[in-house]
Amino acid sequence: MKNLITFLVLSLAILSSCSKKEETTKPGDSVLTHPIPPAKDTVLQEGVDRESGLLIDRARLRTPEHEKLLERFQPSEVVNIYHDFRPLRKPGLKPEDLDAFLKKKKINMEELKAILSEGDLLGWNKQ
Amino acid sequence: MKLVGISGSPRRGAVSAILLNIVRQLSGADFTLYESLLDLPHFSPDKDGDSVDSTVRELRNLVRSSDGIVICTPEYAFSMPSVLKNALEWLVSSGELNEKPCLTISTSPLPPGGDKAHKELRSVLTALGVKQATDNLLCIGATRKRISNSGELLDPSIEAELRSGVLALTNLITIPTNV
Repeated sequence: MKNLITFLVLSLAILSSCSKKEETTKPGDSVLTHPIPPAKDTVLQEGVDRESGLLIDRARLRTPEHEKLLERFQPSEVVNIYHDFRPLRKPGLKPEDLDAFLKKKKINMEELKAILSEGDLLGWNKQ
Repeated sequence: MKLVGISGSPRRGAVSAILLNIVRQLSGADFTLYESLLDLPHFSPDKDGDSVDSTVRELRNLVRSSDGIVICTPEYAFSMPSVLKNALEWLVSSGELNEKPCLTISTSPLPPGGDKAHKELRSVLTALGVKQATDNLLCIGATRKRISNSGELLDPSIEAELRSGVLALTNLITIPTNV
């Protein structure tokens, strides 16, 4: 009997110590109370202009459409157009300057974008 | 722009030569395809000098007068063919490849595209002082499925990759000081 009482007392003691209590948390004492910051787009952080396609975009991939556009150019033409456009390749490019460049080179906007993409993929923007 | 294409395969009509002919079309350059590796004698410093074989002199003149080189090699036993290595050995002491813009391509019926031979080739070319057109290895694998027996490209991605390689080489030749 004595052993039974001892067993019950010990069991109650253990159960009471394991009971789940509603913890009162102070604001800021858990990572879960902090909002997760939005993921940063590091490409966009570098000032990339995806809308125009005229600035450097490291996320570019070569596409079949892009390859098709390059077919009519000699390699030397691609190289020259890419490097001749470099002085203009900055934010705030005036539409009239862009139009004048396209007219001078006898190319359209899509062809220019394809040439810039190809040059970027080949690392010419780092030269 | 004058380019010389060197087919590393000793076999006539090899895939290497087929790919170099596509490079010729894509480049729009004055392009000479060199396929006479088997005519060169085995390299030995003892055979070099004023009395060097005429075939060696011809190879040296061809490389010297070019603006850039395109080498396409198959892979033999994890390596480039010995005839190609032999030709490169003939160009060491005479120095024609020093500072020469160069595009390298490897090819194999196996999917890796001769990458082991390609790496070895680039290592040798580095020793010779060439300027590599691109850091990327242009390895064209599974050629039996992608190129027909008559030399027609069955996979358009090969042409796109070769075009990029040609562009990289053209850029290196045209804009040399900034590289």
